[in-house]
Amino acid sequence: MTKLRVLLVDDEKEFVTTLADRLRMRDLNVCIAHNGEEALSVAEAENPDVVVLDRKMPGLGGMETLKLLKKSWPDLEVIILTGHGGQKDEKVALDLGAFDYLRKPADLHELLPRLKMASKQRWEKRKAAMDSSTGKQKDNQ
Amino acid sequence: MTAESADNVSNSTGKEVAGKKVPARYQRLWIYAVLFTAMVSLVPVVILTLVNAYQYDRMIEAETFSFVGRLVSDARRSFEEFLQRHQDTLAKVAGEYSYAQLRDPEELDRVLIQASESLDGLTGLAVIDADGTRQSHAGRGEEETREPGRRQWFTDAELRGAGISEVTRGEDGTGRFTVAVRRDRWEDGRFFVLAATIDAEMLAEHLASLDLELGPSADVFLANRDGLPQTRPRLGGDILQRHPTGAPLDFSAAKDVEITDQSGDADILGYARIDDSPLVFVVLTSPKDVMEDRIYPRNHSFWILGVSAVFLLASTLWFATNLLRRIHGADEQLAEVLHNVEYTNRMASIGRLAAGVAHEINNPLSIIEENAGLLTDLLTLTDAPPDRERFLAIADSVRNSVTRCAAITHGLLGFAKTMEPTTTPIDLRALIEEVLNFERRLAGYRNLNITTDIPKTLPAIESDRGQLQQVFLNILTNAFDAVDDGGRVDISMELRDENTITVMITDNGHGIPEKNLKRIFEPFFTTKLEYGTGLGLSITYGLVVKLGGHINVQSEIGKGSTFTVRLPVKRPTQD
Repeated sequence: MTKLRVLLVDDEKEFVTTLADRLRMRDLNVCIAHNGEEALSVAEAENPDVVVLDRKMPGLGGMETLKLLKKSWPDLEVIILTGHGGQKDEKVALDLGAFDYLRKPADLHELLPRLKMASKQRWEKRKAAMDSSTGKQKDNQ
Repeated sequence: MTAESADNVSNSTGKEVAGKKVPARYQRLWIYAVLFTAMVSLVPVVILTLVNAYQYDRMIEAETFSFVGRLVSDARRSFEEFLQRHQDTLAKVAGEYSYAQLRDPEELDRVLIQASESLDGLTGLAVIDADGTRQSHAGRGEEETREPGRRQWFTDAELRGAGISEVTRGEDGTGRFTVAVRRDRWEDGRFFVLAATIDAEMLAEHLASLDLELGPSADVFLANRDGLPQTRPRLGGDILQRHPTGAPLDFSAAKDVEITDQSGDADILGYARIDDSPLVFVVLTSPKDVMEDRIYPRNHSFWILGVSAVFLLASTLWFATNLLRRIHGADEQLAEVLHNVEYTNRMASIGRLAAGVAHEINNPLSIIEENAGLLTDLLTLTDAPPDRERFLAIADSVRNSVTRCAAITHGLLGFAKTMEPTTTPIDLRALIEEVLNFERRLAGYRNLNITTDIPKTLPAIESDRGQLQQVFLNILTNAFDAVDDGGRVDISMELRDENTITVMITDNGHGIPEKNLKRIFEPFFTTKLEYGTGLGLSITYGLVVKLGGHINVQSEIGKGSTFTVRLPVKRPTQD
């Protein structure tokens, strides 16, 4: 079975490397970016299943990065993980297509199931899209 | 009203009224309101009444002059007719008898008896020849016709045909006057004079018979040309004695009526010289006596003035007291509202701080959480022996994160300590850094460039730390909101003079339109439609004023804005 590919995006380097180590120990394929611009290029290169995205970062912020990721890869699932955490902010993120909105400090037992659920949802979406595409082809034939 | 004035409302000292302390400045305001309102309402009424009374007095005086003038003129005519009648009667007697008959004393006695029937008050008769020698005499009053050649009435009779004497007092004490007529003797071309002595009471009786329409305090009598009464004055005294009032009876003026000043009262002297006699008809009166019915409405206006004044003063007191009560109440409400607004703003500042603090603490906490999780993972998920170096690195990371959290909580505690208003020496440079610490990281996310230019030689100022922190937090938050991502905020300070420090916070944002500049410190004025309360800068303004400082803003569209705060090095003592 293919490993779950996760992209962690956060300007807190110690946090993101530690979390990456822990996820790798759980057999996940993890790549890292420290700001929004880097996240877009790593996503392009690594094609992750799920992105864990910080809300506040220097340069391109979390919300802008979310918009651009969703624009380039509509089926890509993004989980916002932030220390900011306002109710209004959460609604905006979900409206923009985020899979979930988690507040720091988040327990790994809280994050892991969501990563798996997000990945599962992404594959289901892909499958549904493929089925729909195949059905259309058959109909055309 | 500014927060300062609202504060004054509650800080001013005053007296205890109805169990409630009323600040002294309200008492002063009450006194000014009463004095001003009373003056504005009473002065026109008083002036109007005085002018009205003055005009009334002038009118009454003119009417009195006219009345007295008519009265003395009528009386003179009446007395002239009265005396003429006596002269005519006497002339008739002189014509009926020959000189020889009249020189005979016995005949003259008979003539006297006969003549007294037609000549009221006749007491005696005398015949005087052309040389002024009395030839005969009958009846009483012999002394009046003694040595007639030296008497004026004889000269008048000789020259004009008739003469009248002043009143004299006879030996029996009664007053008498003499009427004389000349008769020419056709037989020798000479003349003789027939003189009649008449009781002076006849003059008084005639005077009493005149309908003079004078009040009880008016005096009327006949006088000689020197002012000696010829009839008994109504107000007392006797004939041939000075008038009891001491009135200066001077009849030298050409006019008939004039004002004499009697012990401050404007009395009116009216007189008329009776032609061909030494007698003068005299009236001494006052406008009040003559025009009593007109004086009443004039004095009425003073009563109306008095009643109006009482009413106006009562209304003024009621109005001023009510007005001040309402102003005081409104000021108290306003002070309460401003206090609540200030409190709300402080809470908003705390909320803003809390959001920033939460973010700053959650990040190191999450590092601690992940490091703890990693330690657990290393011990439970792998069979490898513990990597000492890695464990130490994890411990360092945890310690660093704890240090980060501690720095934030210490800063927050420092902020919280300053919530109670106190005056302490404050290093503005350090204070600005404290405020920036809460904003700098958030500003970093937006790539804002924050610069400070603060001379190290600036003196510490005496001020309220909490209020100053709130002032600069509000201005800086405003500046950060004004600039785009990547924008610039410059903070500079300078010692303007030995007692003033100027703090300038300049941003390169969009700038503030001129129409908004005028209103920027007004409460509830905001251009941040979605999230602004419109309280931040108005509270900032109030706080700066309360700290004895001054704040202004300059702005240019497209170039940015500069907020300038001038603070006193030594905080002025509050009233």
